[in-house]
Amino acid sequence: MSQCKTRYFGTVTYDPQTVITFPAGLPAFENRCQFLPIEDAARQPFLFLQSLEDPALCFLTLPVGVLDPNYQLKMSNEDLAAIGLRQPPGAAADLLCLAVVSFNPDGNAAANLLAPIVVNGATRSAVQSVRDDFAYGCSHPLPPVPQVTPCS
Amino acid sequence: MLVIRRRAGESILIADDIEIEVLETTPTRVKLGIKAPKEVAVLRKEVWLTQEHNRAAAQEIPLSLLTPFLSRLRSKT
Repeated sequence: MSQCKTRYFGTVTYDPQTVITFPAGLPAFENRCQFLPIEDAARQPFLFLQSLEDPALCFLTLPVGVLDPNYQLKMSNEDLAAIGLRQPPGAAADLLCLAVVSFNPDGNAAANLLAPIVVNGATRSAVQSVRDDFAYGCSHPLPPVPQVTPCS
Repeated sequence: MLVIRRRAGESILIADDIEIEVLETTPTRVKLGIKAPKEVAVLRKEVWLTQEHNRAAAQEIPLSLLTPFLSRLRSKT
């Protein structure tokens, strides 16, 4: 087991085999390659991706299927190769698709469905695969809880 | 916005040192070749948008901001 400092959970102990490697980093964070996925039961289905190279860097993500059950993944051959896949992956491929979520100070949240993080479960390598179409937006709004009008 | 019509094999120049050549056109896509100095970043706009979104997402937030979304998101899992 190893330990790391995290942005939201203090120092945590983790199994190094769970670490996800982005060989090319993420857009704007090209030199951040090692991330620890952290689940927090109180905040599921959010999944935290904590950088092991920068304790201050932690992305909040959601499984793409939670945001759009019909999401159609489309990756370039280059991105497929980056995570050790040679051809369009079949349904049997062990892939995890996550959307990075950003929050505004006013409480609104947006998920990037234009560029899902795709993790190859077999190798635990990952890529943030930026689509070359605009079939999905980079700031897909998250649905908030509807306001309940109090009964009088 | 400046609009210029070009065919495959034709180029446009930007300043002294950037050249964009139309290599190939199809009914749905255009293939461009771009010559630019190393220090000039050339990106697909989607990549730039994702960079900006990642920078915003990297900001620390109070985790209480998640609360309003949890029940709605859980109903979908």
